[in-house]
Amino acid sequence: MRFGAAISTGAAIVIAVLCTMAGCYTTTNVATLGPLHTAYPVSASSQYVDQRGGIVTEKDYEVVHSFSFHRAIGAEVHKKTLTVLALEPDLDKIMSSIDGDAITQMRVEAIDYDTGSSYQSAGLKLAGWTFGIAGLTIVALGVGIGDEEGGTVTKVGAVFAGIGVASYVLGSVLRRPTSWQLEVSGNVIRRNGPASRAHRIAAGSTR
Amino acid sequence: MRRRCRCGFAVCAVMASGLAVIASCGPPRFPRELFTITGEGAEYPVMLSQTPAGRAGHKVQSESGTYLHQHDSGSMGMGGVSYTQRAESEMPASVKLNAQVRRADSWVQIERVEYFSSDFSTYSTRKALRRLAIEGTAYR
Repeated sequence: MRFGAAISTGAAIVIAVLCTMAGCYTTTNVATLGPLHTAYPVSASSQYVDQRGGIVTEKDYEVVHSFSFHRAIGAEVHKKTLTVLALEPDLDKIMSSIDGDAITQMRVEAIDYDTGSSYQSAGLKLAGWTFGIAGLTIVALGVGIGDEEGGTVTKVGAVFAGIGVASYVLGSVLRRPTSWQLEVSGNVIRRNGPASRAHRIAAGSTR
Repeated sequence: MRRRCRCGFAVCAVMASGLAVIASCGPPRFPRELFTITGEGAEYPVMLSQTPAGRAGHKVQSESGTYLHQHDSGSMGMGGVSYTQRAESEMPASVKLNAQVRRADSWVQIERVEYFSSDFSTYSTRKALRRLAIEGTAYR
């Protein structure tokens, strides 16, 4: 009897320690955007700094095209993912088709964040650890008790462990990634007056 | 007959209002404005493209986001304590950044933008953090 109590206490401690060690799941999705490397100025406001360092205001240009496109930045569940957001290819494509001088009022808006299977997967894995460790502990207790009574306890433990394994496997199968849903929009502008053509030619030679 | 019609109408009205209440209990709205990079309202260039700067500038930076912490200490219907802590920035990062630009500054270079999210799960606890951080330099 004293031996059984010692096993039970030991098992409880082992469960507590293992559950603490195995039971944390974190999904981190980081998307970074540095200064854009484009041959034309891109501004988030209605004014911009041109290639010569002068400030161009709304009076000096006309909007020739408005654009928007969608980007999703995904990350695997229960992992840390760092993505460098490269908007240049999309912007270059837009600018080459319009032949503008600059982009103004560009806006990057996160319209939603999708957690994917992060929480469902974690819940199932946590249940897996709980049932699995509890099941194995009960199996150990059954073996310790021995005889016919111990055999029944062992079977119950095996069922618990089986549920734990199934739950963990199911949790591992759920892998729908998390994602930042971004909407990028802005205006392509063309400068007024004779400076416009000269600027486009200068920019075109560097593109 | 008329009475039956009135009863039917009342039942329909109760059901419709009930459905409206249930529909309003959906997931919380994603606060887009807290995660938007914009120069709206700025009367100076806010450059996202790399722009050569002649003079030295001063750093500007801001953050905005949301935080959720759910904890439940009860298990298997044995009772316990559960609480939800929810926090949200009052102002968007873009607005905070613009507020740091001085009157003498001519334009701003955005140097780094970071969309950060973290979802943490453990026994009885859930934490979710979403954050937009913007760093830049304001030039005279």
